[in-house]
Amino acid sequence: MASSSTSVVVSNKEKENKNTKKVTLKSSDGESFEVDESVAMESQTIKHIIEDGCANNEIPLPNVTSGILSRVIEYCKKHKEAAGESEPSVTSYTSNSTTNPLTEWDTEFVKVDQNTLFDLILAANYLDIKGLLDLTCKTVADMMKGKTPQEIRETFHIKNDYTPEEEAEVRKENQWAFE
Amino acid sequence: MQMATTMDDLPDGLQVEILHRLPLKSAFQCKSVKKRWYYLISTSHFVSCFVSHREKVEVNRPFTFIYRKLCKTRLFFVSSNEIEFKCFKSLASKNMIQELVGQHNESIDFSVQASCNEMLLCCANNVDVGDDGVSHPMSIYYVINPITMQWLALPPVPQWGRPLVGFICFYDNDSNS
Repeated sequence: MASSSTSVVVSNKEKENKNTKKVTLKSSDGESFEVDESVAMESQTIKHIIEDGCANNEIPLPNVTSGILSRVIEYCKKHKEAAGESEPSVTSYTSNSTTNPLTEWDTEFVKVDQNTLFDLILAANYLDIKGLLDLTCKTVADMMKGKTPQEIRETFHIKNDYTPEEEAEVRKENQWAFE
Repeated sequence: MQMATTMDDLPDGLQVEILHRLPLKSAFQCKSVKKRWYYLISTSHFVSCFVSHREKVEVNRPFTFIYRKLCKTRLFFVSSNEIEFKCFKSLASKNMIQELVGQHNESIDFSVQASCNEMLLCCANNVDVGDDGVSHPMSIYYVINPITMQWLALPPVPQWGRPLVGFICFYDNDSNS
């Protein structure tokens, strides 16, 4: 029933553990995902909904499609697991990449098409997941580094709304940046 | 199904989230990509995001002006990043600062007194603020940030003696000002 790209987080062993509270998240296209409450609380938005006692049956997330939501859940699960296994300081998203074991996983995680990447940025912002927002924004910034303005426009399909004269003026103003 | 999500679909706040993670030169080059970015990169909000992001990532602040006065005013720009160091040399010249605060009067002695991080303390002497026919020479001190082109004039002080001036400041990264 579930599509091949989703990973449904339910297992019988987990259900036997009475301490593992579950919460159901519903995507904009009507798909439901049951996750551990602790994993869902990686999202500050969801955390506040739960704490305010508004999470009765399901938490609807009208701004997130099932494809994106499943990826977000994957991210939260992985980072929650890592937080549980090691010192709390390791989960800092600004830590040195050579010591952070999640860096490799994160790098693979963001190897997606642009459309998905921007959807992840929007979802991370809406769900208020700082680590994911940081990771995705950094990925886009890295894609922009070293490119000329025209290359940036082509890569991201941005429309140039400067006239040639205006553009030359702006360039002249910031000449030092182009040297 | 739906239209693909592009950079243009992101609200301003998220575009700033991406842009402030760029190195300095790249960020300024992006001003010529589209008009909205020109505006976003020029705001003080962008600068404070940029600086506080750098503080987390790098140990040193990205740019510091050291001021040394010999016979005449000289400005030195130091940065942990060599490229940024070269960039800022062209950013702040004495004339540009004078233009910024609107002090076009040649007889006014305008000089840089001190610096702290990326801000400069400038002094304009011989400013005549009297309107009763008698000349009251005053000194007006300005705090100037040449990167964001923002400046603030301090209340004028009477021009007798040579007051000791200095600059102490700390960054309030959480505020929007």
